[in-house]
Amino acid sequence: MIDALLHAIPLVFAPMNILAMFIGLIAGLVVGCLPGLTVVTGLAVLIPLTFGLDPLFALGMMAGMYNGGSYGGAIPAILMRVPGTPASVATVLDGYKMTQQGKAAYALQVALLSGVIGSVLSSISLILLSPPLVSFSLLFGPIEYFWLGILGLATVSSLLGDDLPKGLIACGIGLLIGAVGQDISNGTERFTFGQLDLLDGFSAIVLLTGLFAVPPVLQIVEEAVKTGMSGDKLKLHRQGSALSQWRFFTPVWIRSSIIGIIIGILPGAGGSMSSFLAYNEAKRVARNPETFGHGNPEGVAASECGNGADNAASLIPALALGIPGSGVAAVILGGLLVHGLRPGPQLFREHPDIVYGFMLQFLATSFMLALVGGLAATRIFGQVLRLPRIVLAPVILLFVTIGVYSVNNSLFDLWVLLGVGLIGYVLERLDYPSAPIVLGLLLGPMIESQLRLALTISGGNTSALVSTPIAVILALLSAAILLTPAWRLFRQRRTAAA
Amino acid sequence: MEVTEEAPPATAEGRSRSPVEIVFALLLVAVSVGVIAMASSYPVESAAYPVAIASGMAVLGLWIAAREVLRRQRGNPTPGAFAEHGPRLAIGIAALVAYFAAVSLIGFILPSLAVCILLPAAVGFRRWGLAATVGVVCVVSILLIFVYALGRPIPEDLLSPLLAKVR
Repeated sequence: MIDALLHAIPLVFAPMNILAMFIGLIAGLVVGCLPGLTVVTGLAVLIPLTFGLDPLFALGMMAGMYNGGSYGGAIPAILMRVPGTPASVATVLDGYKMTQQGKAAYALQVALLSGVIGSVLSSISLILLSPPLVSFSLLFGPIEYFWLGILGLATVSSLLGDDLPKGLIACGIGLLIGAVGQDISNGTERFTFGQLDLLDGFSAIVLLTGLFAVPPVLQIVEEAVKTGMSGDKLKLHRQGSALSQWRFFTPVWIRSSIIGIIIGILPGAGGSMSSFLAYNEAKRVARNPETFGHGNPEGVAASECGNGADNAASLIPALALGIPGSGVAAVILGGLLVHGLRPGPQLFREHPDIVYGFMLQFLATSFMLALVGGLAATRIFGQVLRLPRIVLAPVILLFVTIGVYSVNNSLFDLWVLLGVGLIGYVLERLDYPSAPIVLGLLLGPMIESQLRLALTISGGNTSALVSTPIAVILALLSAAILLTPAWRLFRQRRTAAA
Repeated sequence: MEVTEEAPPATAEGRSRSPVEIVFALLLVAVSVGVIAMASSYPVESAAYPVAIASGMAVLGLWIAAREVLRRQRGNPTPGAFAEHGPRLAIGIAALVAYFAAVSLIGFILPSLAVCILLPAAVGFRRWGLAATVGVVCVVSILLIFVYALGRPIPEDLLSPLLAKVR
């Protein structure tokens, strides 16, 4: 690991890759601070644009966007009481009160510093915890990989959303889309309708972009917000230093980082959950919990630190096993595949410079955020909040169009983008989660091929699927996760009846 | 169980997306049945996997549709409207379709400039200068970065001869 890290350092700090991380950070700040746009949307726009570029350049932009977007959401949360991203909702509670008390600049500083500390610790956990998980996965054969894929689908389907049937349907849609194209084992064309463009299946990049970048365009048009934020709110002046109060904030940072990292690693959980849990924990142990919600800087620190801490951590299962811990991680997983990088032991063995470089880019962008996200930068990049949101809809559309077209030089892809985008919008409005679709699309081919391989090796004996201890554990875990919502419902009804 | 003919009661927002929930679930069932029918012509080893998934989806789709029907009968359909503002949603969808059709026919540049100005205007935004400036800045940035700096392709454009001269 140390050798790989040392080898990756010069690559990460090559001038072009530093530029990529910088661009990603700025883009992330802008995307994060625009209410209605999330980091997932930003990544979905970014991924096709990076197609064909050097992988570390592309991954540096993704790392920057993730960390930048994480902090960017705090800017409107503090200044306007409008969370830029779902993960910034808890920041509103105390951040906006601080703005009303004339402490907006201080609140932004606390948010930035806390987010940076959370991101740094999260990146270190990614670097330290991924390799052992990869070593463990070396024990896996086709049977275990089959169950691992099922486990990934089960966790994301059941946890990303309140409605298990809808989560499972979303997953099924992804699995079916993944089945389109030529069956590599016997050459059968499945669901191609005679279209040559579909012989290799749907392009993951087009589907990702359609699902996550087109629905926000329609939503912005629907909302039709024609005014921007007043420029006065961005006239920020330095108000003391949050860094000099490190003794005061350290306990909050430590607790919130641990919560964020654990939530990040758990599949299906995400930024908003970690920031709320971190906020609640800070409030629970505080000497003066009644001040939370009334402009307590510890509330801002806990929320933003927890939010930053789950960023890189959500990539631990994604990079090591190919099972993402969040919707953003699922999209980044898609981004890796677009660049021909398949997560798992093979990635660590064949491309150690890239995978460790990517991890270091998370660490580097966390530190860069401290520089790029300062008050001066917030004043500059926050100007985007003054733009009426309605003019952003065509801007997103333009970047998405050019990115998707240039992947295969194909107009057919643009129509697929439109179709998927419209379906994605309907799914979103009906509360079908989108992340399981991506996961189904990405894991489906692996699940099918590993299942076939396992059955071929065992001579068609299905009992072989539960013939190893790891397979049994993974199967039981999958069943337990799928049955958890039903068990919870049963207990709720029993409690209500009693 | 008695089926009521009455419309579902108004929700907190005054509207319910219940009909769309049912129609979409039934659509999923229809697609799943279609997948199963298509897969029946494939060799067994190629058909088994999609048939298994589609069967599961059909069952779940029926479950969701039935659940929604029962909710309507009990007077508590899924709350919240499907579209926040139907006419603007229709404008958005029409604009996307028109934009992609125009890109297919006359290329990237002119439709992009048009959509930047006309789409906001269609939903009542009247600051033409700002919309046009944003459009021009975006299109020029895309051309400079992706076409000239990175050598990436754009859809065949009416203005391609002009671009070639500039290049």
